[in-house]
This record gives sequence, structure tokens and C-alpha cells, in this order.
Amino acid sequence: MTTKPRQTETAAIPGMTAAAERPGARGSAVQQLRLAARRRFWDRMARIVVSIGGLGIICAILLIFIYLVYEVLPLFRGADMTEREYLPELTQGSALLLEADAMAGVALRIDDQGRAAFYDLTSGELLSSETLTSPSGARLTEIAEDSGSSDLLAAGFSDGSVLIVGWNAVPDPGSGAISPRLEFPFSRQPYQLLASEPVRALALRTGQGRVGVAALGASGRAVLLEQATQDDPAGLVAAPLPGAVNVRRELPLAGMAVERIFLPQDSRWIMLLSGSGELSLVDLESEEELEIAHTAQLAPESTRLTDVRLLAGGVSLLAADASGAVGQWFIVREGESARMRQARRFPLFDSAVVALDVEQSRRNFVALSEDGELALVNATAEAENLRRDLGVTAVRAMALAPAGDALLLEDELGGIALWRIENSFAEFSLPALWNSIWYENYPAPALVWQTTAADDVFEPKYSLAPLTFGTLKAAFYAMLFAAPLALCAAMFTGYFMSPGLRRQVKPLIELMEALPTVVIGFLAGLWLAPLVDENLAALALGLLLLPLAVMLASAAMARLPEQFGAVLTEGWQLLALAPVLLLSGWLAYLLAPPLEALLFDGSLRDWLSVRWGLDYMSRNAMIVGVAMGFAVIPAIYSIADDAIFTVPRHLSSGALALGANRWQTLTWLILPAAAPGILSALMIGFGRAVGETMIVLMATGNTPIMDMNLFAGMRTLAANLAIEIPESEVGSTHYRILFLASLVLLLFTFLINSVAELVRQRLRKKYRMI
Amino acid sequence: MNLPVSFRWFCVLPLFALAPTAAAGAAELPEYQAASGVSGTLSATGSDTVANLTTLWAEEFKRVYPNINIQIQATGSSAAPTALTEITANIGLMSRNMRRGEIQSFTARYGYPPTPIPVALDALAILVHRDNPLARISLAEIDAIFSSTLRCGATRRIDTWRQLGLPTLWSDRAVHAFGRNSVSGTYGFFKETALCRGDFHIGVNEQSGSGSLVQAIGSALHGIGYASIAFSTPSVRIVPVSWRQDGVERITTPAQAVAGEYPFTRFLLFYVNRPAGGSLPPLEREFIRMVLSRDGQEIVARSGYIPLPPALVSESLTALLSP
Repeated sequence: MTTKPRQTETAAIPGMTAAAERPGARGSAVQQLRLAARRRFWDRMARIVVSIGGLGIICAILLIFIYLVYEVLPLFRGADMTEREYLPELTQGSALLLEADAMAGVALRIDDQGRAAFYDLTSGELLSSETLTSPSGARLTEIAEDSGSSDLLAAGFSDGSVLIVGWNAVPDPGSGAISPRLEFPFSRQPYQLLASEPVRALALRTGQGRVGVAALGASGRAVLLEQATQDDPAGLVAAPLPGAVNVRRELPLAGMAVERIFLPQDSRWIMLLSGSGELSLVDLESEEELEIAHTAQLAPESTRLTDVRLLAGGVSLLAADASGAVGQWFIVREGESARMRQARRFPLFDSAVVALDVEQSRRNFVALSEDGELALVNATAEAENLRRDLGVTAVRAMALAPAGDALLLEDELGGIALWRIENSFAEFSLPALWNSIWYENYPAPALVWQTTAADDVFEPKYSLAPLTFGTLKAAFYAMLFAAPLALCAAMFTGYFMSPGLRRQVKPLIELMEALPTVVIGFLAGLWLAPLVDENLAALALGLLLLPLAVMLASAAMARLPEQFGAVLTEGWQLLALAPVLLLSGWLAYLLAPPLEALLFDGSLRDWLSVRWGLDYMSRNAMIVGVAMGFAVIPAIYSIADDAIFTVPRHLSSGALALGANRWQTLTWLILPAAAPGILSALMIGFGRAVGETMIVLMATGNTPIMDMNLFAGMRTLAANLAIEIPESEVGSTHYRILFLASLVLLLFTFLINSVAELVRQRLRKKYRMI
Repeated sequence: MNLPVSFRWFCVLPLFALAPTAAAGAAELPEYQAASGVSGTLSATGSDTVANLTTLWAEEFKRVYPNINIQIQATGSSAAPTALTEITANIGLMSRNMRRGEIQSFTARYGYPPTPIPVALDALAILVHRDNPLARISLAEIDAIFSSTLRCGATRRIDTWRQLGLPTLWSDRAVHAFGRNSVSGTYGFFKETALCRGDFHIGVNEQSGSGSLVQAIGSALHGIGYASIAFSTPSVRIVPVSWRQDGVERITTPAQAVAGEYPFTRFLLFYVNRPAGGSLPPLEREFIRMVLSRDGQEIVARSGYIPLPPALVSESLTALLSP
């Protein structure tokens, strides 16, 4: 900055150059003033440019932070509900079914007279109505929704026959007009499940290539009918497979007063609920005659069950009772047998739960209390999304739309009220991110990260705990490998090595940083992992032999005659060590197989796993530690070496003159003086290891497990982001939770760096006097 | 009595259930006949598996029509529905069926659902290291290795080879499961068919590509995994899968996929936007006709996948060409 203005000056005023450079000359005062002004100008310019640059960087970092927060914030917004609207038409009779379509644009209500009425939920008008009867003219007695993800219904009639009914409310592509109607995708001919007795309870299950209908007659007989179906490519509307036979089976009731039947999605089971709240599980795949495999009491002592529903996905059963609580039950394997277990219980109200309904794909449900209080709950996340006092008391029917975006309530006068609900992020709750959750069919609560599946009714599992654990584990093992190597190397080159040699060695180590991490990851995953896999014993032996050989060689060197000793100083000892290292490595490779056969029954891996329970995965933390260590060594080494090298030489000369040897000087003087720099080096290395993506992605199996075992894998936050961001739907809960994960990652590195900086400042203050 | 387990997947291949005699081979199909008036740009987005095949088809197609332009993006099956709905692609490439939600958002926009067209068959093979003596594996055992939910009938998880009946030398060795990462259609398909919609066990190693998965099993003596048969190499061995039907045990290999007898068989699909009652634009129609011709299906066989049975091809073509 100072030379440049002068050059422009000389160019601008030719002929005055000589005078300007000679102080004390006549014109030089003016000249110097002008020069000073120019210098001030350029100084100011430089200050402005540098400040703008610095502020820009701070702004950019802040903007990234703000963007992450902006993407994450909607998760915390919670649910909302619009004001109540009434549909203009009053209904008649008592409703057997009230349901909205997938887009919450049309509602279907079927009453006990078989009248099916379609309402437009935007205008509130009655679109059309028809009567649902059996071909023989029998009266409709019961209707059941599918426990799978279809919109199909089963309609039971007074003559014991059952008809499978679908309904279609897709708007016409041209006019946009909706003309909903009932459809009969199977056949207009009903299944005759029961012999001329009215159907009292009914259950329907579709999906996975078959349909199941179970009916309970007025006399207490129960029958299950199953038929193979042909699903369309989306698995949506099922039609019977041509020529498929019906399988009809009587269910064992053993004198139980069964009130309701449930067909869960796992086609192995059928559930029978008695009036006293006792649930019986029947195994449909047992080789012998059907019998009850297990019974469970759904209602707690001295309370009455008020409503029972299958939760979306058809796995869990929700049992609401008169005490105002809702329990979630599902089948858990315990050894050879299956048991119904209550995974959680939501004490929602002080008064009895009177109505319950579920969404079609998310694990959300609504419950209404006797006092007219409504709660909208996500079962998996154990999150109460919304609570509202609706002020309604006598309710005849309640329906939550399949996507959970509308609620319909029919009051005792026959009016239908409608609320629109905004609840996009129901599956998120902060405790669920970090606590163990008991997921459907899991034997016990667990910390699980598993977010996707090909089907819609999958229960997503968002636990950041295994990912955070994996991140720290990977960074820990990387540092375990890298820190000693890098620091020792820095001590050696920064203090012991001759500056000439150091100038050559240091760039060489720093060159390691230029290697793309994807290459390191690739090598680690596809070359190093199989190599270590095959030569584990040799590696372990090498770890013992190599330090031993180095120590022996050093001892030997110290006893060498004087003229050799002079050559082998100032860092050149390293070259002399190289053959020793190679030789001992080769020895380890040779000795390993016989030793392994002698001590570990031929295989160290098997011995570890049988004797110590240490399961050796080929893509493990050790491989990651080495590969990622390789990547962070240059960062740690470079800064630590500078810190050690820049400790003033007169300090060490003084110490040496006072009689300290070189090792004492290093440990008591140089290292404390360089401590702030060394700490920064370690923290930068750690920060790098926490954020490293490609190496972990390629060198591990990305298993989200929580196991500190050196020979087990892990999944880190960064690798997880790289894997899952491309597949997640923009704006979905999954997408926003991934952003939350990146925020956690950012907080991690921010915290580490802040702590490091604080400690560094304190250390610097402490050692300032030297 | 027990219902056949195969019920679960028989539905996937209903046509084969009806006509299990369908002879393999693309040779029976007619050759592609060039049409006139084909021009413009064709863009296809989606599954990388299908995109690889589509690239080969595109080369063949451009030999017939040198003036057309074909763009292919391999971004994963999940990208196809969005691209098709937003008309950033004419053809959605998928290695799994569209989900209900994906069909719904398409239907909400157009008033009719997207049209799926099967273009090839793929079978997922269960792979082990070439030195592994495992003779066969049952559906319940596969679930017991890969899942934590045990929905397919097993009563406990399998962690050692002893539980699979391997001899002494192997008995104490742990089973190391390898799988694909969750962005792939293969992951979702395996989860739905082999795990009975359950969850993967957290110890299943996830690989980012089928190639690296096969490589990983080839170098891990204790490994077991699944990949499309097109990726199989001599370093791994395909284990036959056994299942019971009406009390009879059947042992099947991926070679039986075309007969509808192998459990992990899936279609590779094109999804197109075809108006209800309308027809496809000439370029898309001709491309699909070429894919479903002898030339197109021979490319399928050369790439290691399984050509469609001729009965299914002619049915698809009839549906496609009818107004």
C-alpha cells in the first residue's frame, strides 16, 4: 500500500522525482504533505475494503444460520384449526359411517337405513345420495373401514351377507365438477359370510395381495373370509384375482361375548374384543385348529372402554376409556410367543372419551371428551398437537379426514360441523428426537433413525441420538489416531529437525490435505477395509512390534560411534529408521498366522466375537479413524508445528545453557509456550472430523447404531444429510428434521470452536510473560 | 391349513400367475418398425437403474430417428413423480410403484392418474460370499437377518451362521448384513416384500450403490446382502430362496422370476402422462413401442435384467395404442 502511491506519484510528475526523494529539499515539504494525504486516502480505502470483506463473511455465516433456522422453525409452529362451519343440510337417521375423502373435498355419510349421502365440503351442499342395499334387498346393519390404506368399506346386511364398497370423488378433469358415487370393485354379488343372521360387527383388511373380511353375527358366530386380489400398480383399488378361491374359516369364540372384530395389517392375526374389554389374539397361520394365542385386558381396572380403533398402518390398537385416557397397544414378540403390549398411555381428559378417529397414513388421532374438549395427538412422537374446547356435548359421529386436514362432527340435532386443520408436522416433537421411543412391533423402546419406506403407512423414526453419537464416535477415533501422530510429528519437525530439512518435510505433509476426501473414503472402503479384514492379526501384532523396534533401534543408535552419530542428527535419524520399520512390519506379517493359530484358534476375529462379544464388522470405526485421521493430520500438524517453531529460540537456548536437556526443554518450556497454538490445532482437527462427510459415507456401513466398539460402524450427521437430502420431499417433516440435524452439526462445531478460543485466550494470557 | 406366503407377492405378477408357461426370450416379439412424423425432445427422469437401461434404449432409438433429442436424468425413483407432475419430464423412470400420495398429487393436478408401463423385469438376488456354503434360505430367515420387527413369521433374530444351519467352521461367525441406502427404490422394495413392511435392523450396513454392495460382500466372508441380479459378479454367490405353498417347500432362484415363482421380482416402470381417453404424443408412443419391441427387450437381456414375457408386452402395447 505504501509503495504503490509513490509509483503513481513519480509517474504523474516527471522531473520532480529526484527532489521528492531527497529529504530537506525546498519542494519536498509540499510533496511529503501530498504523499501523506495519498497514504491516508489509500489507508482508508484499504480499511473500508477489508471491513466490507470481513462484515460480508460474518453476514454470509449469519445468513446460513438464519436460513437453517428459517427452514426448521415451521416444525415448532404446532397445529391450528379454523373456526367452525356448518353444512347447511341437516342429516337424518343415525350415522353408521362419516368419512371425508383424501383431499378433504367431499364427505360421505351412510346411515342405518343405507342412505349414502355425499357432501361438498367447500360449498357444504349435498352433491348426491343413493341407497346402499344388498341385491336381495336386505337392510344395512353395519359398516367397517379398511384397516389398510384403501378407501374401501365393508357393508354388512341383515341377512348375514357382506358387500365390499368403494367410493370415488375425483373431480372431472374437464369441468372440475365432482360427481361422487358408490362403486363395487369386487362384485355386486355379496359374500355370504353368515347364514341369515344380521351382521353385528365387521372388519375389513386389504393390501399385500389379499382381502380379508370378518363378520360377527347376532347369534355370536364369527367368520373370516379371505381371497387373493389383484392390486393395480399403485396397490390402490383391489379387485379379486380371477379364479381365486375364497377361504372361509369359523373363528373360535369359546363362549366369549365378542363385541368387535379387528383385522390388523399383519395378515397373520385377527383380534376379537369382548364387551368387558378383553382382547383375544388369534393366530391365523397356526398349523392346527385356530385357537386363541393370547388375551390382554385393554381396559384398566374398573373402567369401561368407550371406543377402540386401529391406528393408521393397521398395527396399533387405540383403546379409549371412561377415565379419559387413550392407550396404544400392539403385538410384540416375546421369545416364541406374541403378546399384546401397551406401549404408551395418554391421559388426555378428566372426563370420559366419547369419540375417537384416526388419520389414514400418519399415526395421528383425535379424541373428544364428554365435556366437549378435543385433543389431536401424534401417537409415535407422543406429542399433543392441538387441544381445543369445542363446546359440543352430545356427538353422534366424528370423522378426521384421511390426511388429517379436516374434522367433521355430527351433533344430536343432525347438523354436521366442519373444521379445517393445519397440522403438517405432527410427527415431530423435541423429546422424540432424543428419547427412546417404543415403535410398533419393536420389542422395547429404542433410539432409531429410519425415515423412509416404499409404502405410505410407514411409521417414520426420527431419533437424532444415534447420529449425534456416531458423529462424536467417528471424530473421537479419528482424533485418537491423528492427534498423537500429528503432534509428535509437529514436535519433531518444529523442534528437533534442522530448519533446512523441515522446509522440505512440512510441505510434503501439508500436501496430504490436497487429497480429495472422496478419494480417501474410496480407498478406505474398498481397499483398506478388506485388507485389514484379512490381516487383522498382522495389524495387531504390528502395533506391538513397531514401537518396540523403534525403541530398540534408537537405543542402538545412541551407542553408535561418534562419527556415525554426527551424521544421524537433526532429523536424518528418520531415514535410518525406515528399514527398521519396514523390517518389523514384514516380521509382523510373517509371524501373525502361526501366532493366530496358536493363541486364537486360527482366527482373531472369531476369537474376539466369541470370547469378548466384540463383533468385527469390516466397515468399522477403526477404518474410519485411520482414514479420517489421515485427512485431519495435515490440519493439526501444520498449525501445531508453526506454534512450536515460532517459540523464540533464545528461550530454548537459555534453558539448554542452564543445563536442561533437549527433552526437558521441549516438555517444560516449548510445549507450554506453544500450548495455545497446539490447542487450536487440535480443535480445528476435531471440528474438521465432526463435519467430514465423504470419508464416513464411503468407509462405513452407515449403520445408525449406538455402540462405542472400535470394530462396529456408525452413521454420522453429515453422512446422513448427504444420503437423505436428495430423497426427502421439499417442505416435509423429514426435510425439516434434516435441516435441524444440520443445525445441530453447526452448533457442535460452533461450540467446539468457541470453547477452544476461550481456552486459547486464557492460555495465551498465562504464558505471555515468557 | 395355512395360506401360501406367496400370496403376498403373487399380486405383483398377476399375469404370470395366470400364464406361468410364458416362454422367456425377446425373440418372439416383433421387430420395431419405424414410424413417420417423430420429432422433438424427449426427457426422462428418475431411478438410476432404469436410467441406465434408458440410455441404451435412447442410443438405439436415435439410430432410427437421428434428429430427435433425448435427455435422461438419473436422480432416484423419488424424483420421477414430481418431474412428471410438473412436466419437467415426459417419462418418469421408476424401479418401484408410485406411492399413494404421489399418485394423489398427480391426480389432483390432472384429474386422472399417471399411466404405468412395465418395461423390464428385475429380480433381487440374495448374495453371499463365494466361499459361503449356505445352500438355501427361507423367507422367514431373510426377515430374521435383515429386520428388527420380525413380521414374516420368524420368532427370533438371526445373528450367527449357526442359526442358518452352517457347519462347525462357520457356526460361531456373525452374520453381517449389507443393504442399499434409503434413497434407492431397491431399499423400499426389499423393505416391503422381504421384511413384510417391517423395519431394517440398525446393524444392516448401507451401501450407496448396488455395485459397491456386491463388492463389499465379495470381500466380506461373513456378509449377506441383496442386489439386482444385473449386478452379480463371480465374487459372490446367489442363494436360492425357499418358501412354502400349501405345505410344500419350494426352492427358487432369480432365474425363475419370469415364471412368477421368485419372491423378490419387480417391474422396472415408465410412468407417462396420458389423458383419460386420450393418446400419447407420437415421440413418447414410438419410444415406448421401441422399448417393447424385440430390439428393446434384447437390450434388457444384454444388460443382465429379465425381458418381459411376450404376453405382457402385447397386452401393454394394446392398451397403449388403443385410442
